[in-house]
Amino acid sequence: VNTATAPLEDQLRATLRRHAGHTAPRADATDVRRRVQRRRRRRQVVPAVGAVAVIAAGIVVTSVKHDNSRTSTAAEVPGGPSFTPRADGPAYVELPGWQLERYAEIRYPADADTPAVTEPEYQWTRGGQRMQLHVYPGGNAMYEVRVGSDARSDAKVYGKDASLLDYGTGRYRVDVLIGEATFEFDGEQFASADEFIAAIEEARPTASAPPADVTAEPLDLDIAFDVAVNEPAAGGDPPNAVVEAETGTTSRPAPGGK
Amino acid sequence: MTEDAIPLGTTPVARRADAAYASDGFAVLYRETFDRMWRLAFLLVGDRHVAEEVVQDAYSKVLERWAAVDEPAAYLRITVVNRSRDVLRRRKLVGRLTLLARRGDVDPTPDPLWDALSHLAPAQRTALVLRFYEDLPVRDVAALMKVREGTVKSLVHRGLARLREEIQP
Repeated sequence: VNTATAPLEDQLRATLRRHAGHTAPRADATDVRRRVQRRRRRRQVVPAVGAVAVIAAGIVVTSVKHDNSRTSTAAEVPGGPSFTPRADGPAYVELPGWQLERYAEIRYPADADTPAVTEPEYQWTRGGQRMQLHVYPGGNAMYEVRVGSDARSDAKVYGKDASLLDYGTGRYRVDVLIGEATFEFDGEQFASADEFIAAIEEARPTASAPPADVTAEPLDLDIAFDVAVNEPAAGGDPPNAVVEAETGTTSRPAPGGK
Repeated sequence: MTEDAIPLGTTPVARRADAAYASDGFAVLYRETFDRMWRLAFLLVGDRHVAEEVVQDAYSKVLERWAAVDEPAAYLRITVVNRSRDVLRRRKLVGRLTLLARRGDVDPTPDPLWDALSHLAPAQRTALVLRFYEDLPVRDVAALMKVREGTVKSLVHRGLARLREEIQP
């Protein structure tokens, strides 16, 4: 398609086909079966865990009545690794032994529903392994969005409850809520989930931003997405998408990376 | 309208998979449709990894409901579209596409139209991808997006207008 003269519709078709031409990831139906099995197992386990938790809570209450000096916090592992990121700005992190390849900040402006947020993103490598960290502010609500899929298993990172996604090819993803931010680690070329989590737990908060030679210029996004989809009407009338005014574009061209 | 009731459409891949359900079941559906579903999800969300997750999740849903779903391919496609739209709405992921492009998730070749696509509202992007990549008629796009045909026409019209505006020198 001659992009200079072809109708926009044809240009769009050509663009979509070109970008869709990327090689799809290797995948197998057994990955899906594993996912479903995990999901089912989790559903079976949750009520059992709940029952155990009720019993355990009863035991704890009884114990506390007898010994007020003893306290218990289920999410903490005494003597285990800890992680306390700064609360007054982007979470600066280092991962000892790994090569930081890139650091970027994505800044979303405040809108009617949400305050302004900054999302730091790191990319490290170590040999053939790759690790990415994206930090999503937004508290528990954002954590729930990130782990929305049921096809996960529970894990502990820094002694905190975390959600593990095993892609089945040496790639793992973990989401853990620390303070008010969800730390989402995504790694490849790991022999096991344990190795992946052990690598994550080496990460430490730092006081300052990564060095300038790996730091991309912050990306300020000023895009409004004012699309509301009405709920179906009681009479079965199909819902109608109402497109409100789109009130912005990216404020400036995307900065270059490393 | 329920998800199960959405018509399959007429793509060759979907037809081949449809004919093979009875003998080989889920594995055939997966093998025959994965690439296409992944590409659709990628065009909708613009992120390889997110697309993979969206698609795997959609297949999981299909597998879980295998016995109850009459047309798994149709159910699969609408699930992929819905999950992708959820991602766009919930994470405002569209706005991150420019950054993702630079880190190699998408073709690094400059493409103003592709960049402009990432600036559209999720519903506009979805309508354009279904209309011009999947080549679905307005009626089928409306069924997939659960909106009226008039709304699809409006989304397409305004989406194209926005793209035209953005790529003008």
